[in-house]
Amino acid sequence: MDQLPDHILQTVLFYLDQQSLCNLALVSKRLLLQVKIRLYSKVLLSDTVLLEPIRNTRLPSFVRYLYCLDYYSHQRRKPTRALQSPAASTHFANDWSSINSANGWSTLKVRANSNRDTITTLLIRKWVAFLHSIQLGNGVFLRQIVVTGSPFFLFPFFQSLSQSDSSILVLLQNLSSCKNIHSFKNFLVCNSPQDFTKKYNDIYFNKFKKNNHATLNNILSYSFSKLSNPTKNLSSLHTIQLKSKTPLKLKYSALKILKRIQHLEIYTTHDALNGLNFLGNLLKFKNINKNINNTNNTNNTNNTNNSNQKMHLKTFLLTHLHSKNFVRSHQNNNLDTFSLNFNLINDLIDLNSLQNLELRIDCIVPYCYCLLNFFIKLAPKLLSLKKLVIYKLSSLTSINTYLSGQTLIYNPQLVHNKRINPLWEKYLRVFFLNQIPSKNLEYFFIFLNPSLESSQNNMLQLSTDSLNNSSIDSTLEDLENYLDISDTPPTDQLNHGDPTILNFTEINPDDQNFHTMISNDLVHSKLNFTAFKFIFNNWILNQKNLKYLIIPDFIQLYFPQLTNTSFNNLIFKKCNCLHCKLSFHKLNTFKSLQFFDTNPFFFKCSIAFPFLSQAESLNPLSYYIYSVVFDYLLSRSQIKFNSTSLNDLSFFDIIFEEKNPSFHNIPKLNPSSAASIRNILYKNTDLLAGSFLEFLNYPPKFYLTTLHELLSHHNRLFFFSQSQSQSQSQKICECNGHELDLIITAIIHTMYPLIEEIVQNLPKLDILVLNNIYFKILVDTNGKRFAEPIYDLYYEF
Amino acid sequence: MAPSPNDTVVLLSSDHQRFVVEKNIINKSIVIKNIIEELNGAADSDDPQDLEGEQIEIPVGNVRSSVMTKIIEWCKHHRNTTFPDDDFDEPNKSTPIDDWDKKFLEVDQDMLYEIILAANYLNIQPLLDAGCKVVAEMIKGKGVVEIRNTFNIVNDFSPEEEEAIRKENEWAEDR
Repeated sequence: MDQLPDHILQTVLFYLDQQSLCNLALVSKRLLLQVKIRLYSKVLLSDTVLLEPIRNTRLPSFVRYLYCLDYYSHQRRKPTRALQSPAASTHFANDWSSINSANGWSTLKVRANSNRDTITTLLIRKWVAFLHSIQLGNGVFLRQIVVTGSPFFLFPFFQSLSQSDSSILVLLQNLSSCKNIHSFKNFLVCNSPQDFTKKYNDIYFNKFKKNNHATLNNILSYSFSKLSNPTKNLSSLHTIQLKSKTPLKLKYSALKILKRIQHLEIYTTHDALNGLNFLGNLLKFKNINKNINNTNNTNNTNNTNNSNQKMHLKTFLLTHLHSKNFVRSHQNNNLDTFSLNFNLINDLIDLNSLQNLELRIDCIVPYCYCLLNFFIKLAPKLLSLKKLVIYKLSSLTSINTYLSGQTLIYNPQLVHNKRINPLWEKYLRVFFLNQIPSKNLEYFFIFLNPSLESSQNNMLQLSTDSLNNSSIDSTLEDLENYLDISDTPPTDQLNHGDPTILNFTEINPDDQNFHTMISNDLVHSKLNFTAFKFIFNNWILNQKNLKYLIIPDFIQLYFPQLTNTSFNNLIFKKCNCLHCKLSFHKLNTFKSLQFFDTNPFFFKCSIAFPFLSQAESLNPLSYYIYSVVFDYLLSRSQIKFNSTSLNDLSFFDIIFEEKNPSFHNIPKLNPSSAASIRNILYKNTDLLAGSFLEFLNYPPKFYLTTLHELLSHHNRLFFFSQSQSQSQSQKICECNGHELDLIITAIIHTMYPLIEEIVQNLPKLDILVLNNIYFKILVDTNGKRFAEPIYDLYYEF
Repeated sequence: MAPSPNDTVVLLSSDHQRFVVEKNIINKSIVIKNIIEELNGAADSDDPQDLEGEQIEIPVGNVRSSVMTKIIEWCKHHRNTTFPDDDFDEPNKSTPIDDWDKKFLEVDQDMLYEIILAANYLNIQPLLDAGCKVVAEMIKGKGVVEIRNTFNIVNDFSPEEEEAIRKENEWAEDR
């Protein structure tokens, strides 16, 4: 083949499918060069968070893509490896950077504080280059184009939204008449104004089909009625994605098209977080259809059976929120109407054959157990499930869009209902206890924390902005009100794994509804800690096909592997682990800080954390105490612990002693990170040697009173010496250039026994996220699989 | 009846062999066709007597006699075949190779490449396409090692490079 010149080789490559091209790329360097320009490319244009499952892996994307452009002809991929160094990733201070993610998207990642002018200029440049490339016929191979929002509105020369959309039309026109595009499968436009629909549909149906883009099999429409008349042109259609800001409307004729689709994805946003509404309408039509068939073909049982058939979907994505707000907005006082109705889904969809399920759901109606009921009934039906993704929908409320400064799904009620979170733990426990019968699970993602998306500080961005405006005059009370932090025990704010949860949830044990929905048996035995630990552990470790595993923090408390000894060994001694990149530092020192709390319990204590010397003299109990106190401190003040604050005692004095404290330090420590830290510490202390149920009985006041008593003996035990030179303490604190590195290191190390067990038991596992820490499973030179922590790279997949 | 000298051209292969071919056969080669038209045009406009009765000799320096024989054989077979106009029609990926072409191109790899190169040189697009399709068929369904063995290609990647590429392209595969 070496005899053939490049242009002839390109003709040969033209006749090859993608799989052969991928194989050929590995044959030799010359062939790689030739093949690259023929591999699929994808273009994503977006101005907002993309809630799009990526490609056929259906990975949920919690990444903020502002703009993605990926085509091989420009050969501008960067090695992912460069980001795998913790130092590189944590010092990711650039405004933006191009990342080649694991799934093939090149991403321009934009931070909230990025320079928008720079980004805009960059976008324009790339956009122009892209169009130019197509027009020149450089062999751009597009597989998917996604346009969300109005990305071009960002461009200064597009003054209005309509102008912005006209630029999408220009793109469409260019693409639809372009012969250089092959294997084009998807074109998605989301969230555009209504008047754009007509133009879009015209172009889509007429031009793309005229040019024989026969491979096109996935369209997105927010106007479902447009798709109601199936035509020959749409014979290859197998996916429908519905995105709407308004309630989805449906026509009777849509039934025809729905019979043969394999993937149904219902996205709704803002105030219409009600995907079930759409399904409800669908069921009505189906029943009408059934009645018609029954009337017309009373003797023909086959037809009747057909009309009763459920949809045999491979993929089902549902967005649904049960909230009072929604009910009010629809002037309907019947809360049940919009509750998570399992029967509705079960009547329409054959859940037994479902392979991919993504639920973006939540219920924030007090005393409503529809979510629990939903989980209980759902689990046993999932016989063939391969991919399971569950988002706690209300956690998405705090995702802010980068450029507009607004939240994507902003619902004030959701934000103020954070305390309902612990219910999710119970519900999920019930869900797991029902043990999904499928043995083919490959993807298992559960997202409860809003912080999983890339930038940790963004979660508090909204709060920060407000603080900056009024920090000087604001009181602690104001701040607490704003952040919805009241005088509840600390762990209530840092929810996951909190043993005191039961005291603060809104479950009313006397509520008859609760008892009728779940039996006493379930409440008292299945929610039992020991039983859950045993069942979940066995269940997950027997899912031998698992490739991706993301489990919420609270689950990890139920793994039995960690012991006090191993924890102490790890945290006090340098780890000898060969693979842990974060194990450069010997955690043999302690640093303590003093703070004074004025209310409500008037205790005075020290807080210790593993930074400076003398650690060996501390017993595990102290860890627990300090960590709880640490949490308390965090929950009240949202302090960022970094080298500055840790070295500046006056900082703490300001917070706790001044009547009108001001906050100059931007809170960046993610509550879930703090929860992670605490979870680990809490798990490894003697205080928890008692039973779980016993611990549940701790009333909050007793909890803190005990602390007070304990701490009175340890008062000023390890007070940080102010005489210590600033440079020396900074040096120790900054070790790895990042204030969280040491903490994360400790967490990672303590998790190794658990990770080891998971990795060895799940032979196909590729990615693991525990405690919000991302692990990639690799193979060492001896062929042994191990997990490499890449904790700052959530957004890599 | 033998064609008159006016209806034929002489092709001179790289090893100096002469091939007398009918113009309407070799017209499948756009290059030869253009040369003939140019020469005829020149003859019409200048002195019509100059080329009259003389056979046009066209040296095809890049093509060996054995390959030229195959090219002429192909042209003869397809003398009455109408091929789609390449300027307006995109080659169709899914159209299978013509059975006769397939058999015709069942030759050793060196010969196949030479035919492809000759078709490219002489601008015989249908033959070039057929040749490329045959090569593509040889690649399809084969793994990396098989492809290397089939085409005798030396692996110039380091194992690390190979792994990196494999990972990078994972997403692009049709699975």
